[in-house]
Amino acid sequence: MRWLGVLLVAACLVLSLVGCATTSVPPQTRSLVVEAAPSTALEAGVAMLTARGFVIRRADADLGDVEAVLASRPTLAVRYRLEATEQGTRITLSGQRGGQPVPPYVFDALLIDVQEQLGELP
Amino acid sequence: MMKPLLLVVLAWGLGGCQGLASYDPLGRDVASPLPEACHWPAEGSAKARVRATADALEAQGYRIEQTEVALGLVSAARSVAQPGLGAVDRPFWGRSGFWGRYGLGGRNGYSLGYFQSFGGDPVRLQRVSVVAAEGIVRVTRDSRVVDVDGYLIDARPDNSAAFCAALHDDIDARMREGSTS
Repeated sequence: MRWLGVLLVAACLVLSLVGCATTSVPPQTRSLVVEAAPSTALEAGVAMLTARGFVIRRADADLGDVEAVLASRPTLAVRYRLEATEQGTRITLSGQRGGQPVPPYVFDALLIDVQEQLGELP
Repeated sequence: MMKPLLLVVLAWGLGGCQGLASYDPLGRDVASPLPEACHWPAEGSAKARVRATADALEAQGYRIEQTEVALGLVSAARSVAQPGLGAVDRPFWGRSGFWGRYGLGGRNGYSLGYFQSFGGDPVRLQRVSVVAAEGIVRVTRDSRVVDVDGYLIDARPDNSAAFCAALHDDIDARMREGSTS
């Protein structure tokens, strides 16, 4: 009976420690391939983000990498990345809201805006 | 007899909350939060514009954090102390407690006393970016107020028409000055 108690305490201890060992969630991304050239897609993305009120913190035109933030409750951070592929330019969006990854489907509205700016809306 | 009055008061009370609904910057069909003064057609060479923008922002006490001529981007930030805002979430008589101290010097001593402190002032952190994309210059700014111990008191977009108009005038004046000299 005493061993059972010890075992129970040990199990609780292990469980409580295991709870701390959460792996960090990888950023969830949403991608879209457009026909426009990377420089055009970059401008469209930056126009879309600033029109929504985001503040551009960092942008590199050659890398095709934009980091935008917005102080609100909760705070928002969005990453807009471009990659030249054979089919066209791949736009990848990811973001964090209050330190937690934003679910990818949220970015659909942003991608539609970019497609509209590029005149590639189906 | 009292019931209709009560309902009206209730409706007013709840209706007041509706105005507080915040806009979602990631939402569909977001009405642009930028005032009319915060976007204007881009003119002149990108290089001259970025230089004039950086100078104009620095004159207002902003620190330039990044520039990218290909996007006409100037990203800057500044912090301003906010005396008086420190009363938020804090007892008005400040913080008090006991403190102890070992003195260094000719002899070692230990003293114990009672202290009262009111802490430092909260700081307002403003971030601003100016970009020229698709022929339009857009100015966006946000603002956070952070307590001395890191507590976020306030965070909101801070797109003021007065700030944008003054910045626009300053940039234009500096570009004219640059092109004539």
